[in-house]
Amino acid sequence: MPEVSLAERLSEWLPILWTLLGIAALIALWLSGTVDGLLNRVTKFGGFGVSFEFTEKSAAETRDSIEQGLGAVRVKIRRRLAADVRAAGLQEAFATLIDNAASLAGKRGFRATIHIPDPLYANQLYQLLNYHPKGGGAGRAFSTRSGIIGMAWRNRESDRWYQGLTKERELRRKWGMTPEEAAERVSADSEKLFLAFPLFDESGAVPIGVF
Amino acid sequence: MALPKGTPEEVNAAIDAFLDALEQDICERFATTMAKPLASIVAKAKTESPQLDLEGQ
Repeated sequence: MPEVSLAERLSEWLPILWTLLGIAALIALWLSGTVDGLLNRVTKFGGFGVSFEFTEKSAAETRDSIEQGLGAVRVKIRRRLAADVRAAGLQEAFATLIDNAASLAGKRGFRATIHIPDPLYANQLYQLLNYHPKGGGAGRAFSTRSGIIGMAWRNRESDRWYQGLTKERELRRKWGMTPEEAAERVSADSEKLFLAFPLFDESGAVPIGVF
Repeated sequence: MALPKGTPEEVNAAIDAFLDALEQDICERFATTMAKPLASIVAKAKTESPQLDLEGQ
């Protein structure tokens, strides 16, 4: 059996000793809380061409950047939809639809519009048409989680909402509003009646909007 | 829109009747005049726009 020198034995065990020493050092750091401290000081994260730095200054810059970017996309979508509505003569067709509605004959002080699924944000409804006959309003977005249009869209059935019979608490519990939104509604819409129902495509099976 | 006058029961009955009539009226004529162009716009917007799910992220 060949004799192995002490130096050769040490060279065999040295990598293992270094590894054990490293593990021991890590355990010691972890027990002392130093590792947590180091990890908590990581303020920058990046990947896939995007990076975020978790600092107060960077938070504001990131918010501004994202808002500006999404704002630009929103403007393009709004313009595209407005062009499509003009090309299809949809606003005029809607005016004719409302003006010839026998159930609205002689009624005054009402306004009607159509919302569609928001092309930019999921679970949002986009006001496609200006109100008829009063005008304005197109281009706004509303959550499908609250309000009467959200209720009609989610349930695929018509709904009504008479603010005069609805208390602020019910607005929060049933209609998904925050306390601020409910208070605003109570003061602004105390004498109004809201109606909403889903609209379907020609097959009658695919929901495409809310009246 | 202004609410019909009467007791709460009468008001509710009037609202129900009005909603039923309006919905039937609008839906029938919407199906023949606006459903096709609106469906086309919705489908185009859906395919050409990035629908971001901010709630699910």
